[in-house]
Amino acid sequence: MVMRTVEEKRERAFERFNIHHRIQHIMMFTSFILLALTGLAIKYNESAYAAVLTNIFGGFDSMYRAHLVGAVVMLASCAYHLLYLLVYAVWRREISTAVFPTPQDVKDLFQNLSYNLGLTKQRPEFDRYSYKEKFDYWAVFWGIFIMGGSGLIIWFPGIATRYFPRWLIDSAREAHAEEAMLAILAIFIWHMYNVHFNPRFFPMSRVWLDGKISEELMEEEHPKELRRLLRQKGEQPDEG
Amino acid sequence: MYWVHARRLLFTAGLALTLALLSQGAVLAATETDACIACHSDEDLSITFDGQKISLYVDPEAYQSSVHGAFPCTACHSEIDGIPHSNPIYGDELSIAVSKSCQNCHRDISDEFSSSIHASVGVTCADCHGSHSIERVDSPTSTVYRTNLDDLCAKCHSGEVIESYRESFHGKAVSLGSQEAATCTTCHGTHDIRPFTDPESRVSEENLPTTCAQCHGEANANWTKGKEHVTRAPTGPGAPMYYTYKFFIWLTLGTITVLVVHILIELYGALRRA
Repeated sequence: MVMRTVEEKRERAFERFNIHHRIQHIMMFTSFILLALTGLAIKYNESAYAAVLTNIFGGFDSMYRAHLVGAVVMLASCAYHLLYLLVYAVWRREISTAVFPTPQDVKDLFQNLSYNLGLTKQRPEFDRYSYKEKFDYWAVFWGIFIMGGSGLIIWFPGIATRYFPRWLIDSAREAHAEEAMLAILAIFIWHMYNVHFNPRFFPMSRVWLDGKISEELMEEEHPKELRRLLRQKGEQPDEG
Repeated sequence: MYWVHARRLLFTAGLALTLALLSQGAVLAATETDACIACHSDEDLSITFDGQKISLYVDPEAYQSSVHGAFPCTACHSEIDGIPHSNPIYGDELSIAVSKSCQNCHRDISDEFSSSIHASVGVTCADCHGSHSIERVDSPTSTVYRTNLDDLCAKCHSGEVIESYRESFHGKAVSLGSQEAATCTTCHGTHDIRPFTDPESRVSEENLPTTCAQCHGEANANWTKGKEHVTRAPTGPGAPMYYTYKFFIWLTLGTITVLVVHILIELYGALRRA
């Protein structure tokens, strides 16, 4: 078995996000930031922040237009992703199940907590997606469903009243304003920690930018996937 | 040829006469207004009526820059007779008298207003439009400008009706200066407001879908299934909003707590191993 040096592992990169993933992610986060900035001004309309932001946009009506543009971009990124999955499935003649939750994720969660609390020396070994990444992925699905659904209802109440009573539209607005806070807090606390402030990645993971992750980081974060990839390349993994 | 000359002559003479009368009128108005202002520009000028101190002060600049600023005072205060005034009126009597003066020019509006709920409960023109500093509706400092309307209507319509509006998207948009979002009058009308129980009202069950469709495209019957102007409450029409709100508040608190605890445990681990 040939052990590779740390330098070699730092140099060698694996593609984690392909160009489609990266474009989807850039569409998602740019629209998210725009939606959060403008949405907070609408939710907290009495705040000094709302007045300042409204001024920057040259009035409420254009700020609201910007919010709708953000909504279109975010929904487009979602449509792009679903289309990508469909084309991928047809092209490869297989459905990737890597992001589906499994019992192993529950074990990994408890092992990770035990490891950090010092109850075990063994860090969990993640595959392509750790339980945290799976949580993020499905959280976005939930978020898009609630925010996109309620947003479309309150954007097009004329169409919504074909199918829904008035009180449901009012409730959709409540859902929109509150689920937004969950999304904003989750992104700015949890996601920012995971990809920026986590000591492993500080100042940031570059996966979103060039899609690449070093073999060194793969070994730490996705050892099971690394071993599989190396075997596919006909190489002998270091361990396991 | 003869005709053309005659018409031109007639036109010139007419124009000259009109201008002469107008300037004469303006001069007369100015002199009369000056006479009134001589006393009424005194900020301390007041009288006690019905046990209340009533200020008789009129800000001359505000009046002259108001839409009516070119008119003599007696155009509205037709009851005034001589100086000192021989038979002054105050309070409701004055409001009603001046409202009648409004009709001299705003006949069509006063006809419209006379059938409204506001007319029947004794609201007068000045209650909404003010008195000596009336501005055009599109002036941002006008009492009836779209972003000032909620405060104006709230003088009488306080409580849930105004709170729910201010909480609504319409209210928030208008508070930040939207020129498009609905104000009170977008749905309720202006001079011809009727109670929602009146079938002719814009917000009656029959008419509400059409009123919503002014902006929202489709006059579906579902617009009436649920009440406008309700705030979140565990019972009654505000219940669906209340429970939706509570669900998402607890979902947010629960989720973020779990995520923060998870982050802290990982950071503790990193610190321990460091």
